[in-house]
Amino acid sequence: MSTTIWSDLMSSALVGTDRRRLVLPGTDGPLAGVLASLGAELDPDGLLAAAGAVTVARRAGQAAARPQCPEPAAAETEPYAPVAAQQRLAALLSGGDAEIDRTTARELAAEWLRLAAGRGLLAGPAILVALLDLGSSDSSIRATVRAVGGTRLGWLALQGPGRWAWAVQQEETAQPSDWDTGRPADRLRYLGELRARDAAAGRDLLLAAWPQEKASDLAALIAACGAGLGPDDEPWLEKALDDRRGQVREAAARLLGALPGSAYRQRMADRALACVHVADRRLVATAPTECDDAMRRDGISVKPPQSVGERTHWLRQIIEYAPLDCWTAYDQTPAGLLSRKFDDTWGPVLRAGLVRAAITQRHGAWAAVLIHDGLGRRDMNELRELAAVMPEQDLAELIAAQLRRKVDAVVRLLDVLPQPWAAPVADAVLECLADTERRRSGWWQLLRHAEWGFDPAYAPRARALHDSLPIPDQQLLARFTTMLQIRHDIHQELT
Amino acid sequence: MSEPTEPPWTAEQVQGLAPDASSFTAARKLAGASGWSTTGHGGSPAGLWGLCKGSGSNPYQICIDLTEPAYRCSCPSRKFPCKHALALLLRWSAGQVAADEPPSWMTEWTTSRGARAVKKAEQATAPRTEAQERAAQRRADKRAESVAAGIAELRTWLSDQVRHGIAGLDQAGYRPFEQVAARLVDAQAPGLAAAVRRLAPVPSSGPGWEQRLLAELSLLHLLAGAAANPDALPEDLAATVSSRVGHAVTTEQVLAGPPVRDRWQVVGTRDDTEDKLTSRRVWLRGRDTGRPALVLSFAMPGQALPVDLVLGTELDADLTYYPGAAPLRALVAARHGTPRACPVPGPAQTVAQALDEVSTALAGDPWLFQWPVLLRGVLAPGSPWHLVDPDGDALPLDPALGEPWRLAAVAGGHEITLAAEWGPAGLRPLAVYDGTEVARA
Repeated sequence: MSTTIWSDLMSSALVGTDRRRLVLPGTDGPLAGVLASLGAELDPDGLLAAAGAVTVARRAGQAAARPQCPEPAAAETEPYAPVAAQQRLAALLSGGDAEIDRTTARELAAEWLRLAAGRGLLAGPAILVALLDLGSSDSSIRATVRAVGGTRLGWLALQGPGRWAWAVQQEETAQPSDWDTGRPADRLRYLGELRARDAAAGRDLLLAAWPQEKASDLAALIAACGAGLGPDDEPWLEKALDDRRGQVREAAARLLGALPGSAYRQRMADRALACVHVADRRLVATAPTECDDAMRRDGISVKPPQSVGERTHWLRQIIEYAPLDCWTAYDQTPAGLLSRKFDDTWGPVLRAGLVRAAITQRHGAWAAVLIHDGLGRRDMNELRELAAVMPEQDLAELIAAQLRRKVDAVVRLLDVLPQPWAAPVADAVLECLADTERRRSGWWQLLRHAEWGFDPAYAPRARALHDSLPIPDQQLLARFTTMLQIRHDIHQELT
Repeated sequence: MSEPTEPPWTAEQVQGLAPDASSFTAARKLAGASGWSTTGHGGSPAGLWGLCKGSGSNPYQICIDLTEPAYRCSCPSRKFPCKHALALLLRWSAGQVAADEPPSWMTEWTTSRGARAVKKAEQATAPRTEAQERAAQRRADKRAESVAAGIAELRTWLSDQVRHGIAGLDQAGYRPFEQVAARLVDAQAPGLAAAVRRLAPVPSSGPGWEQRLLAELSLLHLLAGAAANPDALPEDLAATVSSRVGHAVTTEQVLAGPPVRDRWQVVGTRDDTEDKLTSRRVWLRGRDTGRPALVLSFAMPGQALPVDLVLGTELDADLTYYPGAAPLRALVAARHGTPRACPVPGPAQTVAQALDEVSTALAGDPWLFQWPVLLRGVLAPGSPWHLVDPDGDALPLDPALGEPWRLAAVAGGHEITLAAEWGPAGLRPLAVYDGTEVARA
């Protein structure tokens, strides 16, 4: 009723009553009296009066809608973080302030999230939208956000815009359907989980699918069988070495190399020992002159990368993949072997191969010796890779000792050191910072790393050091001290 | 020790007191810092005090009277309340301030405040002389003349729009509206001027603007017609029309009206800035009478808005309403005691009840474009979003305000209490109460 009157009024008002005269039809209903009083043909005032009556009637007569409601979110099973901690997170997520910039605030928020996740505490519902937006722009933080978001996060993401889809709660374990129809990553995850549960079932699954798989997929799937690896796997892996596809052979060879007592390990050890011999306490290496079928079968690639000679390439692979323990044939300890003189021709290749071997085989004892051997000389990325496989204790001691001598030699190893840094390192860093005479290259980097590396429990000691220095030096340490204090507070608030 | 202590305010409530966002951020940081001493709460009237280490040698003294609330801090900040006061409130809210006997500097402050309040009350009651009355009458007559001329011009303008057609107005920008509004300001009808200014953005508000514009033009036409002939109106409606035109009512006149005593719950607050003038709307609802009320205040740049009504609290007080046919705006005439935390405001309305209340209000004041509602129900995402009450009835949320995901997160699909402003375009959420906490929109 009022709808047709309204559209009559509207069309006349749009072009003007001068151009479209308006005669309202007689009406009944609640507005009949008002409209009738305006006369049959409406002038501009009449039109406005009629429109006013209809507008008020519509607003006053608004009817309720009846839409669908969402399913309510399930109750949380874990507790919320304390109020002070929630406030802290909200402040960090709302951006920086005079003391900390935006990026640092984000990193502190990330630490909050990791810590809360580790302690099984949840972030409150009011902060979840900020966390979803954070995770949408930074995928590295998603796992932690999911952990502290509780069931409410997944519920919210399910209702919300598509960019939050990553937060929708996934199945706890991969499903068989992932294997049949999933993306490559889902299939790897399913196989890996199955191998960890039931290695034989995983093997059978892979062998059944074998003929249909592409080389690159197959190589990745073989690598996923590292989970639950055992002696039963040797026969099928040996068979895989007969595959004509290089990627498949290499993947199988890597697994066999990790399998204690495998025939492959023995073959590689024999090859390595054949290439290296001892003469007058010196180590003399000789690269193979050809890459024979047996070598190829064991996953050694024939074609070198650009600017590397064929023989160098072969020798380096042999050393890298031969089990490091085979060198006890020449010397009881890694240190003993490395203390010998290496010959000039193939010695450098042998040394580089050993470094790769320590990294690939994650051999802590070898890494510890090789890193000492190469400090200050070798490629820093390689040193960091070596540091990453060292036992934490050894690495901490090494770094602590070096810090007292030459900061920039080890400062870049600090981000490999597990956080929070072990006490010897933190103590050595405090010593360095206190020594105002010796601010050399690397000192600033050390300070930046220390903001995150220090255990927040060091906050009082850092503050005491700061206060004990002359004013100009205090300013240098101000940020470090503040950061440590904030991190300290975050840790305290989350208990 | 004071009597059983009230639960402290939440951080959300404290945030409502902050003069700006940076103050609150600073306060949040300060609250977590070391450097606090001699903090406590208690005393009568209920207060909060503390010492906070600042950049000077002496720590700052912070005193807070929780009843109004009122603040004093010995820091030099011009922000009010300053970050120290806010930080102290935050510490209290986080349970880090224990009940205690107030120290002497606290009691001195509360005593001197009490004495000042008595003096002020004495001054306020002096009557006007006869000469003053006559001068006031002359001014009123002159103004009525000027307003009448402004209204006549407005009516002509409105007729002209419809006579020539409104179709082209989306090309014309704000100018035509600004010109009319400026004339109405000169004619001393600021309320009408503001109403015309509110029209200016409508033509650029997207599809359907013609519908919205005609609706608003027709209501303005209704108002101008009523204002041109006020003597024909009933007294209440005449008061409504007069306030919509922009006649000021003095505080004394309002306070002289009949008081309504209730436990007034602060269910929502909203700040708006228009032409450098900041306004704060504080929406109240009486727990016993169920009546809504609006306490409106303004501040020029640099001025602080009053912060004495805190979201999520309730206050036993006398309110007096501004005159009108659908009374809503009110003043706090007298307080009876300390505000208390009020985690679940009530009585909540069903959608049907809220629509009834809006209808009744519109019958009194057809120009209403906002009316507070307190609904219980489930937030349902969609386009538009809805609040669905337990009967399945729903009201849409104003889509122009964006999607309220934060409130949805707090609600979690469960039934919540939503304080909102009803408007022709939909609800504008103000705050969500999930039973324990209040989250502002």
